Amino acid sequence: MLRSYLIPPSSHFLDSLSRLYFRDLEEKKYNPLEVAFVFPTGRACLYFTRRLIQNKSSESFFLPKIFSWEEFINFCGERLIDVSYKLLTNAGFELLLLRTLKELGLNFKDPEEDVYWTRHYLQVFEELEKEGLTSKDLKIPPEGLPNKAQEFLENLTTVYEHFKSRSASLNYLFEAQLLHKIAEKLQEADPYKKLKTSSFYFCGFGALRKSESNLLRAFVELAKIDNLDTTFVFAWDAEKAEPHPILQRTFKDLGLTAERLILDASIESSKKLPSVIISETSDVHEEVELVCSNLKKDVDGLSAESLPEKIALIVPREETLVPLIHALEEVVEEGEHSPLQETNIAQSFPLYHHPINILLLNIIKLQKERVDDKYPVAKYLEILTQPLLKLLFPFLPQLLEVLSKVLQNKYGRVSLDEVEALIGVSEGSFLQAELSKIHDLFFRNWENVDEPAKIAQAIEEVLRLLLPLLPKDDAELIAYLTYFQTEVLPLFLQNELWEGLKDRRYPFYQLRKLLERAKYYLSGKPLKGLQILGFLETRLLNFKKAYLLDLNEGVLPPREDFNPLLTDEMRSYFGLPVFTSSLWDYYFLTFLESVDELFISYIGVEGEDSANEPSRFIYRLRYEFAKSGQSLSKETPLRSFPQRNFQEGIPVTDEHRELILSYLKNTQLSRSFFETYLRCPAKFYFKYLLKIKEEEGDAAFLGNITHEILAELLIPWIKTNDFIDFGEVTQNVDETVNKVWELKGVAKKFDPLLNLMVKMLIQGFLKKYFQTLSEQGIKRRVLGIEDEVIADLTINGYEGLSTVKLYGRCDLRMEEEASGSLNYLILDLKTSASAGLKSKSFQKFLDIKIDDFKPSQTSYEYQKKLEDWKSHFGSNLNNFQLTFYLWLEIEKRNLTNSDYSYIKPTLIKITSKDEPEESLSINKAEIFKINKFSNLLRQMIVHRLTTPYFYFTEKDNNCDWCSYYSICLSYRLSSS
Amino acid sequence: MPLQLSAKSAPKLLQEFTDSYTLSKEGFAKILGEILHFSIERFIENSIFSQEKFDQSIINDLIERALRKYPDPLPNRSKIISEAQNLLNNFFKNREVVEEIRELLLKAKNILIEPQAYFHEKQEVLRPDILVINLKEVILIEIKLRASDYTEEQVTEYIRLLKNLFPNHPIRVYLLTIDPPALKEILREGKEEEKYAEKLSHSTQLSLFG
Repeated sequence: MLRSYLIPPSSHFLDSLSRLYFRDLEEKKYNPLEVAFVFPTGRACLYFTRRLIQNKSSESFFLPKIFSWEEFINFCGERLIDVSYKLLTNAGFELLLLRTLKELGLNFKDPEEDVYWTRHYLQVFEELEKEGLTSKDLKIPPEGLPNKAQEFLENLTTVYEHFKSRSASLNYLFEAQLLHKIAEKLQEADPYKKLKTSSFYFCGFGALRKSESNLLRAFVELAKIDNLDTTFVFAWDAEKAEPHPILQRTFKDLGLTAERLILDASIESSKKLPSVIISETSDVHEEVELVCSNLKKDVDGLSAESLPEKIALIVPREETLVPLIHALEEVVEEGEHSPLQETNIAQSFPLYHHPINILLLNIIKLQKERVDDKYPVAKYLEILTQPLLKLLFPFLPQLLEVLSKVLQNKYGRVSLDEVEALIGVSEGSFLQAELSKIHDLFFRNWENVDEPAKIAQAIEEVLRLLLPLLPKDDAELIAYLTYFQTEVLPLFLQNELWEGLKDRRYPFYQLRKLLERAKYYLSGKPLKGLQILGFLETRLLNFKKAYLLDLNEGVLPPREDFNPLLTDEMRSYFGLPVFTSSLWDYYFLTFLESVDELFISYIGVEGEDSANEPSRFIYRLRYEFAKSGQSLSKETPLRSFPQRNFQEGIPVTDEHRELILSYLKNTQLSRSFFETYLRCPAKFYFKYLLKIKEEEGDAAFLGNITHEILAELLIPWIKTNDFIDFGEVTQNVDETVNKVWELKGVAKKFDPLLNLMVKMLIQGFLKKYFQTLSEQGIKRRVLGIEDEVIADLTINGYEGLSTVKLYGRCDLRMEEEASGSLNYLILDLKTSASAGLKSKSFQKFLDIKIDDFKPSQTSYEYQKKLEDWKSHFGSNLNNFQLTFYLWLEIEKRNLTNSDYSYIKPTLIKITSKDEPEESLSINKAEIFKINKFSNLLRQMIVHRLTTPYFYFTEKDNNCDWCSYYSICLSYRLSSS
Repeated sequence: MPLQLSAKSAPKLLQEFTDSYTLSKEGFAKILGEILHFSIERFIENSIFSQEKFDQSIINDLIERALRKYPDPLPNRSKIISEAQNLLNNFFKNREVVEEIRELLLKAKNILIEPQAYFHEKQEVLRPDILVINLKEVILIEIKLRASDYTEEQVTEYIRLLKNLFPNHPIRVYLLTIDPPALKEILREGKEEEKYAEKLSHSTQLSLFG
């Protein structure tokens, strides 16, 4: 018997299904133990079991078999397949593929690239397997891919065959291959009997891949010849609309015609859309606080046992889980008994930020930077400042202080033996022995890993010492260790997977990849307490009220990981389906019908650079509501939530203040000293107090080179009083670029392609820039190139501090004759694409009064002050640097009494396509207005001497390229 | 982190963590136990006990099937397999126990392997190992690796469940241990001389129906 039903999600899908089951038991005399239900998720299995029990709770009874899809495949595989096989994790298959590539000579020179690309290659094979397609060589692979990736595509068939036979020789099957084998087996006469099941219910499946639909199709055929009873049940209200295209495709794949099923007429009311409140929030903290404060009212009077069907928190973005749990903690008062204290999560728990993970990633990073036995000093010190190390080594702060003094500014790179000898001489054998233990654990154990198992040993050694010091009941730690013990360590202990991969960098990069992906899927068992679910976990479930968080584009529907080998064009070449958002559309529409009340929150647009965009589903929701004539509520959160009480920064100690004072007294202060503090006080702490050097990335290197070229081009004009002949300068560009390129060994720094592109970019820009100046007849004289300006700033005697010295070095000073007037130009060259000036902010700054700042205020006021100050210089502190130079120039060069009509701080923007220069402008009469900058600098000095915390930046994109990102993360996590 | 498993004020996570890390003693024992249960249950389900001789390849096949759901890399896979082989070989070599099991199954109308049932008195879902349904009685076979793994509470619950599910059938309960192989009757209902469990050595097993 073959049946196919559509159950409206609004009629409580699982409840209707359980009624169908009990009706079938009675009418068809099924033996419950010979009935199997198969659901797409484990969550639906749990809820269905609960529903069966609730509908017949007064007696004991046998339950049918209830499988998630994964369990069902394992069940069929074990029962039906008579040849032995093993499954393998993706990480394991990646190693086998890596080996295949090496054997075929298709590997990159650099193992890091191999590890990166293998993951993408494997996805191609998986996709082909899922659709049951054979691979095809790509004669003309897409341009822009690296050569080796192109070669891979050109030889796809060979690689695939080689890889498949390698996998088969070790007895491994892809899941799709297993599905294929099961489907084949079911087409034979008798094997289905081995399943010992006479009736199957496949519930809520849609958008099937070929390998899946082939398997289900076998059950359709078995039902057609009456060997089995097969029932398909889909979630859709056919009364309201034609089945969704996703379902129509599924019907077609399975050869089904579905009919609407309503078992209880009383449920069949004309159910409208749920009542919906949409709330825009400004950040994730506000979002989770808003949700939790509402939630607290909802759970009043409910028990933890009754919660699963009453309320759900749906968190599509796993990164929101941790702040959500913090907020739940806040909302329950000390000593209060609340069902919110018991939570149950069915979602991946992100573990990337776990302090142990960060520590291990830093160890790997450091090993990558090691040259022979020497480590870069800044990186070496960074490892030692990881907060977890303090737990292990109580003498670490003392040791660090000594090390900073001994190593800073003396060594670029240092060997462990050298450091130990230095410490031995200056501090004696005790600290030397402590340091040696640290070196063994975090450095030496990782240096000689000539086989993967040694990596596992090195990790286990770190864990062995750390774990006794950490709280045993910390669920995140348990999740992390479980992830480690099941997903990470075993990979390094199975030697046969590593055969043919002798280079010691392979295990390192593979480990790094696993750590970067670290997450643990919490299965949400047992079903009790407050339910926190991923969006896909809500399939087929009904809730009285649901909170749907993060309804932002890129979160729901999620942004797919981009694979350059599986673009839409490539998919269509291979014959793979091109996914659109229709699947998510189907999920969202059925979800809407499965809840009575819905509270939606999303993170609003913060500024023009903001990546936050409301999800397309919000617009879809508006459309659905408009169509049905219902109203959609909008709630604006109150902006006066209590302050979060977890740390927002690194606590400032007296020792820190001493260090700052000493710095102020003994060092000339650059604009960076101020700008860093304004941007992120925590970064200031790492850079100026811990003295951890910033990494010089490629961008900074490129900036230095460009400055050098500019200086070379203009030096000849500084000695004359003539206007610059920009035509001549243009002609000198190529030669000068080549000269500096060679002198600085730039070609060695970049790979050949990048080298060529960067050189062309710089040459092209400079030629166009000078040519434009020449064509416009600009008359300029060079006054100075990179010359230093130093000025005193008086301080009001704070802690004996009367003056500090400020210094700056702007790239160029020029004077310009224009329209009969003479102007003074302070020029700075920028290679960053985000550089730009904000003239409106500058004009506003000239006219405002800088309020006084008094120490001994609240933490909130300290933070607010920083925000106020920042707002004077543009959202990205765009104007700060040139205002600083302007102030210095005014102080030192007596510009007030000069002949210059205007002073123009100007940016030369190398990445700009249109306007290579951008200027601020101040006329002579207004120069006095810059004096207030002294007041501001003074206040900023007092601020950092009295602040209770070095605050973490509130602006997350400040962290994107920050050298201190990982160490800062450890501080944030340990302090919260 | 406030997400704790047991603290009072912080939210408690009601989460079961799956320990399948076979380098740990617990993880190893868990998977080994699963293989042994699976193999013996499958022997019973497929009536392989009626065969004259047990072929080593049958044992190997069952172990391989039991492990299929655990993807590689699975540390100690070969050690688990070899331990399971040893225990199962010893078990099936014991002709006396095998014969007892065979006799127990002779009148079986239906054999249920790990059937899931809802037990309304305790509002729990239970899963006894094997139920042999005869015309006139129901036999529960509970499998344990060692006699010391047996707990009275567990079987008591199963018996109460079975009394609900089969109110008109007397119930017999057996404990089947693998190491050493033994089949011991724990309870026989429905006869005048109701037979109590033969006292096992473990102290927790003494007062089951006394």
